[in-house]
Amino acid sequence: MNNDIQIFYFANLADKLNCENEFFPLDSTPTTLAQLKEQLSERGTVWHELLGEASTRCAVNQAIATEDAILKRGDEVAFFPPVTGG
Amino acid sequence: MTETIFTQQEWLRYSRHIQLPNFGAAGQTKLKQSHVVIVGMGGLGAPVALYLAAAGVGKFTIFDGDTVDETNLQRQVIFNQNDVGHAKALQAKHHMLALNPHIHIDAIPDFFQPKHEALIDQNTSLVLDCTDNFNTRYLINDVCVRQKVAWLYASIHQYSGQCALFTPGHACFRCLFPAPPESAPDCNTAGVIGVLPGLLGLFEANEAIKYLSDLPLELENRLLLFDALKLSVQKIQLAIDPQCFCQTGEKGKFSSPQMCAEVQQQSISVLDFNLHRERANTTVIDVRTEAERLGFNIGGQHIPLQEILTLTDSNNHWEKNRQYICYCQSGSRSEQAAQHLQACGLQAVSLDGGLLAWLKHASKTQMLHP
Repeated sequence: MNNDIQIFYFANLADKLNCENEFFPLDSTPTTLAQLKEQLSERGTVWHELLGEASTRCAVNQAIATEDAILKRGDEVAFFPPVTGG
Repeated sequence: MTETIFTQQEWLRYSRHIQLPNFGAAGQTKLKQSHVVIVGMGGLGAPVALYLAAAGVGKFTIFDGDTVDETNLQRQVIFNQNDVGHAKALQAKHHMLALNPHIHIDAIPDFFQPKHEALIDQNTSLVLDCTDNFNTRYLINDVCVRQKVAWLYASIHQYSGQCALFTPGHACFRCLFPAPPESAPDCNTAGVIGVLPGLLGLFEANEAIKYLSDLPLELENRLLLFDALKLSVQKIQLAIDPQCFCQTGEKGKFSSPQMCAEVQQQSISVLDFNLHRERANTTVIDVRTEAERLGFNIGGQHIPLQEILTLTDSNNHWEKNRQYICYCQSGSRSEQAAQHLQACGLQAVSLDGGLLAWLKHASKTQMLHP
């Protein structure tokens, strides 16, 4: 639990990844957002594709974050896609 | 009596606003002196238009190039059965004025396009995005960045919604989403629970009223992520992207993206479908889910898309010289099915627009029985 971050997936990411939120252990410190995405992408093609899509955005602790953001334990990470309907 | 901003009737009508702490006569006056532009009169635009008209926003410009359709009535509550077939912008104006005759409305029965840019200027208080596509959102964003006008974004997908207020000097929509989504939702995922655009439209209307009346804002430079199933809300602080066009003045490769349309090839029209389906060498296949099939169908064999996608070219249940016509709810899954069957060496097409197009055609020609 100690090194965990919590990850949330929104909209069709939650559907396609079949995961709404999870606790994820940080295996090394410091871990950047880019490294987290790499680790998650190892879970399979669908993870690799969805997290790699240019339109998928990410927030850390409720603030939009860039790939070089450094994660620390207890952080809350959210991945969300644009939605288009109206 | 000296001349007043409000008439006797208006003062009575808006009394619940005027008596509201922190809003009052000052807030109501600001609403009356505001000019808002609503782009899109669909699921989001319907509640936005109704509530802002009721609230007493003084002037509106509303855009929509579409006509009211039977399937709209499940969520676009500004319209009723009698509006079907008529221009959305004009019908919406009619209903807004019926609700509140003290407001002024310019209804433009056209989709918002670059030629309309001049209609958004320094006299525009706020633009409300109630569209259903990224092209128009990028256009609204670019015009509002240039004209330094604030705008509200809202959008929905199935059970999820997003809303944000973009104001000059903060992150713009392209800072948030520099790239459009890569794939258009298919007809299975394009469904929507009817109240969701209502909820998001009211988040927009709520933020609009606060913005127009100078109340504290919660969504300025923040993105609201809403989940209708869990009723969960997250608010994400946005940040200016230094590479974004709002900073550099250079638009990226997505100034006019082509996205949601280029899927329909190898498809047939409803008319051709009705002609071909009776032929002996033709098999119609419903590729929808079991639940959809049981809910309503127009005949043919039932083979869900997932099953079709497992087919390999060695399968002998299929005939090479038979014409297979696939259909689904709106034509996207059947397109996928037809493409897969073609890849397996079979002759297959998809019903363009799906069951919905077929039903619309049938209701026009009064032939509702398959």
